[in-house]
Amino acid sequence: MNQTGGPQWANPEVTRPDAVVQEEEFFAPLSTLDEPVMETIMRDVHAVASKLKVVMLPMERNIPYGGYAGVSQSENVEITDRDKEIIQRLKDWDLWGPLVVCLGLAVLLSFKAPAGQASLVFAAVFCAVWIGSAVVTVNAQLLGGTISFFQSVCVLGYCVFPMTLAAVVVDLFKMIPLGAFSTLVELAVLVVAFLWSTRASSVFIGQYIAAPRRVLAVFPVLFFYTFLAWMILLF
Amino acid sequence: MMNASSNDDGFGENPFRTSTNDFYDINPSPVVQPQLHQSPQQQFLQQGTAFMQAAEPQSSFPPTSGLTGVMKPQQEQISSMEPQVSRGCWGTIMMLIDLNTYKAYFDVDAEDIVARIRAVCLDFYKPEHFRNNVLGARQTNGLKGPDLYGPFWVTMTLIFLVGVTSNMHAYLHRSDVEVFEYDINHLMHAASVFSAFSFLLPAVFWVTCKCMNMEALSLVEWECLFGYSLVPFVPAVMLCVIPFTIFSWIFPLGATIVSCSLVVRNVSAPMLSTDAGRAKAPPLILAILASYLIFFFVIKFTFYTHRK
Repeated sequence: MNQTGGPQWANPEVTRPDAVVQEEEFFAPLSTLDEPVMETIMRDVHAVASKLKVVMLPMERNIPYGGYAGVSQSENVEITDRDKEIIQRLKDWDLWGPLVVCLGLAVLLSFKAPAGQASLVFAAVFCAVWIGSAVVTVNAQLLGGTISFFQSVCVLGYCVFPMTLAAVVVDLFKMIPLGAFSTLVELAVLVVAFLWSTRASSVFIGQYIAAPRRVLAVFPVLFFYTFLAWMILLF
Repeated sequence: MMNASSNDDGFGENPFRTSTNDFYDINPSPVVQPQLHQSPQQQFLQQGTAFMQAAEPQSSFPPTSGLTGVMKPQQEQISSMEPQVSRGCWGTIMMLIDLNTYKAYFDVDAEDIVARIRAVCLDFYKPEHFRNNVLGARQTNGLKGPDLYGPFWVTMTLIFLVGVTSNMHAYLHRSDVEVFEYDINHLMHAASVFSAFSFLLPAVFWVTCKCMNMEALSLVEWECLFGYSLVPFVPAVMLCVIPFTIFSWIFPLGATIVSCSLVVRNVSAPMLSTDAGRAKAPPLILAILASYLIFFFVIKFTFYTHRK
């Protein structure tokens, strides 16, 4: 694969010595007729899993703003290699991953909700993730960002994954009788998940917006994840 | 537009810049502070000049939508209606769906939003200050005109905060904490109450003004004023958590007074400036006051009253 990620014919400069190799490479992902169904499914699962893994990459230390380059007002933001990798991977968007992540979170929280409110909580979380990410994206577009709609929705959706993990961890902590201490532990877990979630997405949104209004585009991102973190804390 | 952006605006060759007006490059001129103690005559003169400024034809900045029709003399109004009529019903619907229509109202920077929020909190009592010196009726004088970013996100923030704090309030006012259940319905109620107040109500007032034939403010200005007037409620609802009943009366009441005076101070002058308006405006201004009073009681009794 070449660096730009597009098909070969899109880059006329790239000339392969062997035309056959080029043709094979071009048609390789399309000839899936004779492969087992399992392989077809697993390919998508692997694609989703690799993106989830990339979202969970640890934060880099010793960089300004603690990885929140999207918030900075300076014109040229230095994006670290790790952020670059995250953004590069997530640019190849799909909506299966966000759907799985979002459904997981919504189901988990609706199980824990009080008896009469389970369906309401499910609906609130599900709508918050999808409408929220759409609104954040449209907001960035209106502020003058040349951002692709589904790409941004995909990034925001995948970045909910740390929140889903936090919900599982908080659930596990509730089984251990910690008493009054348990609320503090939950809060700490959620703060970590929040930082993890906002890092990649704020950098992603921020790089498409002119510096003086970057904060305006990143604030809704923070708002989005704060809302989700609060929902997890409650239920 | 993108090619026209020279290097002197600090952006360089920024391909992300798609702002729809050229006034971005103008250095903001110092904000004209109105005198605090004015004689009625001076005030009248100031309102007169404000009206004259507003009545200038919109040659400098053609509006991207029909929503920007600010008050104009009657003849001009008729002539400027023609292109809107020729757009047709379908064209208007498409224009409302198109994102580019709204881009002009999101063309603000972080510092503009900060300046606007600060003006709401500090200069709410100055007549016409917020509308003329902070928003700018039109994109002149370095001011960027009414925006929709602030109103939208202030309302969203407030909905979230009320959803959080009303439950905290209920929790702190209970004797049997063990059986406390979080009520997500507060969030849903807050969403409907606040979005109706900040998006629907100004539209109703705008339509009423139109029907009564006084072209006082544009729809965007109404929305912008009502949206920004909710800013004082953000600290107020946070302070409502303090577990004494008196605080849940004082803080929302104070916020209501601040935001009500902001709206009335900025709305009344242009409405009263015409002969036709002088007869019709007082009931409308009373309606604004009444709606704020109702809003206050809804906040107090829906979200911050504990049931024993």
